[in-house]
Amino acid sequence: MRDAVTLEALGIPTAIIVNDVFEPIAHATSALLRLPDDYVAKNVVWLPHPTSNLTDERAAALIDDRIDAIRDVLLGRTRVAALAPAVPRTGAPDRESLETARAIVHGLAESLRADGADLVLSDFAEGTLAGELRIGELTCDDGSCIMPTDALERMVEAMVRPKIASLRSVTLREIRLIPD
Amino acid sequence: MLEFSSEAAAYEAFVTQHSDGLPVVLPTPERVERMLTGTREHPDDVVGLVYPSGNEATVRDVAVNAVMAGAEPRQLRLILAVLDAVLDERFNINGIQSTTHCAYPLVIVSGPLAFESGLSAGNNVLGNGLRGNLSVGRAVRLVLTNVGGGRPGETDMAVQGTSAKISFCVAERLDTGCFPSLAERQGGDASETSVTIMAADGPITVSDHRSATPERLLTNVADTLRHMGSLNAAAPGPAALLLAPQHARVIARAGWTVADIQRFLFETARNPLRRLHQGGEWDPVEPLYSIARFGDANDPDTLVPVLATPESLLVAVTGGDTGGFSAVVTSWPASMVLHRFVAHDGSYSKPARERIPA
Amino acid sequence: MIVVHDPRGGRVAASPTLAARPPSLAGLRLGILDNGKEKADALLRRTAELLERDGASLTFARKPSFSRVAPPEAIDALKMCDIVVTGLGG
Repeated sequence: MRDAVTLEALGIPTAIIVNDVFEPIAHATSALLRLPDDYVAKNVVWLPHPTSNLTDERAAALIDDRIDAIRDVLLGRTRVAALAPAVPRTGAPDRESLETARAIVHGLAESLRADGADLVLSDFAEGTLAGELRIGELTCDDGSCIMPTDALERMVEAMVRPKIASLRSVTLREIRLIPD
Repeated sequence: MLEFSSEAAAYEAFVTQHSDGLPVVLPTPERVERMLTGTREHPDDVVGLVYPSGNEATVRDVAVNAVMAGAEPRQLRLILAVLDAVLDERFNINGIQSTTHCAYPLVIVSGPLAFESGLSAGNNVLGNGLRGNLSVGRAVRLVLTNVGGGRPGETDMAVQGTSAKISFCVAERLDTGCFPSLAERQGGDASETSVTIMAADGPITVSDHRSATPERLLTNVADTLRHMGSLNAAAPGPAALLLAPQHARVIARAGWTVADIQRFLFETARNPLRRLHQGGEWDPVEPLYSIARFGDANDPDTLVPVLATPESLLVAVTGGDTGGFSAVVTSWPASMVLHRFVAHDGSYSKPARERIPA
Repeated sequence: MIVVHDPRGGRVAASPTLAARPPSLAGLRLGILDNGKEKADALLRRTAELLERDGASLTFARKPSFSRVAPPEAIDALKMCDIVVTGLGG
């Protein structure tokens, strides 16, 4: 991502193609490099992980599927979801926010599932988004594919807050699923 | 410059945002100016780019973090030489800062400048209490954290890390008469001082008060060096032997040289394939390098070394005279051992022969 | 009041700006920066193929070693491009 930042600063629109398992690192690097909140959303095109075992034909098909997104980045056409209203509506506003939050972290949860874990958001009340990081049988032997819970909380907060202004904090409980 | 309403506010901000977890000395303009008297390099000169942020570290930036570490001006020239090597692209500080492994630069200072700068090579050299050693190591840590942005849980994904990540700096004993110093073996003369860095695991103790021959003592070392839990076991590379003076004397009295130590350990610090198949990182399907160099890949008795070559083993004599405890340090593979010679005026140069052959 | 040096360094990279976007890809010089592991080749090659059908022309392609940032020479060469696609992790 650093190269893309250098190139953009030189006036060269740059599209970044990355496997979705790296989404958390992309956000962390974006924050470290002080990029705007929507930088990742506007400049990165995600591919489903893994790609290293694809045949050339399947790799080409995957790009065919994503080429519009790549064009959108280069032409500045990527749409980023508008902010939710700051004032909660009457009725069941927290449930709506919860659904919105779930949709936002969908990709993140998918990449965790690919590695044997899961992120399940369960409640959004009084500004606190609560959920569980469920850890099952991980694909990596050393556990390194899963972010630490507190880092994941910050990640989810960074991803959700631009779209849900009433979010104040994220709390995730870590649950280890014991195999039979 | 940063402004705070009070010293208490500054203290709190620094210990929470700009430290290694411990309080730091506040880098006031006076303290930084005094620190800069320890080098002839210009304060605005760039030492290197610190990753993952990619920000430049200038001599002044290093001085600021050296003040925070509690270092003295006479240590600045060593800190600058170490960082010049750490930020060398070949060392791969970007990888080291973000890896899930505990990797961190081990720093060995070899030569008279170490002691003139307040470092110690005696008792507890790897532990607590030695202000010079800890300050130099800590200054490096703070530059990597503050300028580089290497922070635990954010960009530094080390699973456990190691306490060596606070500070990991030793000086070499020059007075035992056992072997030429590491600086001399790198091509310097007795008046010169070198700094050597290696991307390292935490140290492992080798206890031995019984061995009276080099073979018996180094068999103990070999057993520690070849342990299955290091990344060396799956991919031979560099390692360091921090040899206690008592152990150095056992070896030197038998007429052995450092080259003899390296050769012996290259031959004996090996794992048979049958052992590597039982556990650990060794991938029997896709070994990280060709076994053909060492024997038949289908023979379970083929012995796989943990050192790439005999010269891959860094040997330095360090520690007190009070007993037989040495340390073995294995390494993180995607990096390179680097050396710098440091002149009295603080300027540093690379040795003629830098690269330890793979 | 107390004033102290900023330990993060004086030359902190300013908040980066995004380049202005072109109205179309036709006639633009395309650069490909392959930072990735195996298969990045095939993916980026197909990308270049499709963008060339949009009218861009492939001007530069580079594959340095992974886990390092691109060397200055690669960035220098990419300066002659109008658009760049880079990838790919894993």
